[in-house]
Amino acid sequence: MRRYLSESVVFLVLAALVSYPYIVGKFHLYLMTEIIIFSIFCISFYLLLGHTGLLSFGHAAYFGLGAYCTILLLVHFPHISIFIAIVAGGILGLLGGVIIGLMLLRLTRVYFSLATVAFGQMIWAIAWKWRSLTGGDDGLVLKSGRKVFIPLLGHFELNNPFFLYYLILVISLASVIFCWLFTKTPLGNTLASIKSNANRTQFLGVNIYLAKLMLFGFSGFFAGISGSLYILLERMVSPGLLDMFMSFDVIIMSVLGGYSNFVGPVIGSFIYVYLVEYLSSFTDKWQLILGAIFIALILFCPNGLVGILKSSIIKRSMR
Amino acid sequence: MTSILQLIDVYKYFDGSKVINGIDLSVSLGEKHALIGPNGAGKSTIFNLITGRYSVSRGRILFKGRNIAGLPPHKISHLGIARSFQIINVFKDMTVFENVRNAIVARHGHSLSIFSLIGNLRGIREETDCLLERIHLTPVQRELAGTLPYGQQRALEIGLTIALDPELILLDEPTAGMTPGETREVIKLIRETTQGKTLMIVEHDMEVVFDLADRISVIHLGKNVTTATPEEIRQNVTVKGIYLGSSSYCPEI
Repeated sequence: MRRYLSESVVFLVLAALVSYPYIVGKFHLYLMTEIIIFSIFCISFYLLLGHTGLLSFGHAAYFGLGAYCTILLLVHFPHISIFIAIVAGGILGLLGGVIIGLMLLRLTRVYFSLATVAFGQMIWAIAWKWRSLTGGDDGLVLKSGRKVFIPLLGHFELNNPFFLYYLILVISLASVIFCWLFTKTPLGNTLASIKSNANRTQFLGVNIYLAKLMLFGFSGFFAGISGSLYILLERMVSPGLLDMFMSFDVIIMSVLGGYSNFVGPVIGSFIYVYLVEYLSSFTDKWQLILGAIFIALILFCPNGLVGILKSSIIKRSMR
Repeated sequence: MTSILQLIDVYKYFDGSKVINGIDLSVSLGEKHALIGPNGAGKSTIFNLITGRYSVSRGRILFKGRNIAGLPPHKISHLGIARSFQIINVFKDMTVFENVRNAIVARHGHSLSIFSLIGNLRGIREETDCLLERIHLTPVQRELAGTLPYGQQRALEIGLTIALDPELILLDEPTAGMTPGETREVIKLIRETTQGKTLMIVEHDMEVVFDLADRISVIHLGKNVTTATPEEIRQNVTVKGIYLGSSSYCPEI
């Protein structure tokens, strides 16, 4: 029974995602595209925090590296395929993850978390100060009018929100599947055992430093991919994409949705995007309300919304 | 007899105080070697030094002739030394099956592989089942390790150690906190699973020690007072002094 339940839920969600552009207007389609991108960003973060138990305050760095890489390639090489630009963004995120990981992963717990703030801010400072490359504070803008060729389907306008939605949806679904499979590999299992008991894992003969380093690369790759996709949607970049607040955003999304499985980050991004949208339409002090919600969640349901749903389902089945 | 492990003039300081004070110890290939001594004598510290949990302040630790002092724990484990812990140290929020599988996967060197799914690895499932059978935990393999009764968690603790198929097994108080009945079970298990292997064991239960060990080293104040057969230890006046002088602990000797 349960098995069919989860299969039908997956089917319904997929059907809803595919038909979404035909149901809602442009504005909500834009929000949904943003939600899908943030979901990938959040899932890459979930692999660190939820799956392995590493709390990073600098995760936006990889998102920003992917974003800058993609926009630089698209701006300077007008004929480059966007797919190459997207994958390159992921690879830069991967390199960023490995380099930062090399320096930080010997640290544990709070020392690790604090050091991630410093490195995240360092990447931000580079983006901000290296004016000739990154445009500094003004950032970079991607000219519209680019066409994308999809084999068998033909040419599409990148500006077309319908096309963009489906493009991002397909890449994101593939990313989710990769991340999910990753958790089922021996390395994914080893990372879960590191979260459960790092000390014992080491005494089983596992090089936990190398395991975490590989995770940093993998997570950085998909954070980079999400940054690249964000560029396709926004067509501009600024240092705000990789600053501390962006790193906090992904933490807020994770707490909103819960980070005990793959569903939490997706639900978290959904709530976050709509919450910010509606709160900011009421008041310009929306961050105050968001902060209050964040604190309330941490105090009263640390497992996020997925946690609330789970426990209510369990309660119901106990009756 | 050839020795598999030798500690040569090993020291360990913690914040200036000497916990291990120039210890010399030799473990022969294939023997069951027990470490006894009063609380705080440094027995667990010796294990922690051998397995790389603590770094050696001075001296050498030779495993099969190679100096392993200063190597990280995972490398020492790879060379063929596995240990259990005095305080149960299993993967509490994973199932018993997953616990053992973690060790089996690690032993085969697949822990970091990303190009196959863990469920598809060849032979891992069979080996895990086989080991679960040996430690008598097959009926509870789907339970979370943290929810098992204490005795079964102890068996799992030993299981994780022998799953690595090491040449040298270090068991740190495997019967700590157990009822006499559970102790008998665990001793039987240790006998079955360590056959043909070299075993070092720290144990407070003297009945267990004298029953199991081929040779015994008496550790006192971070030094090896003497290494001898159980019979000789029973007669040794110095050993009696250490125990009776330090506490009323273990009056049998």
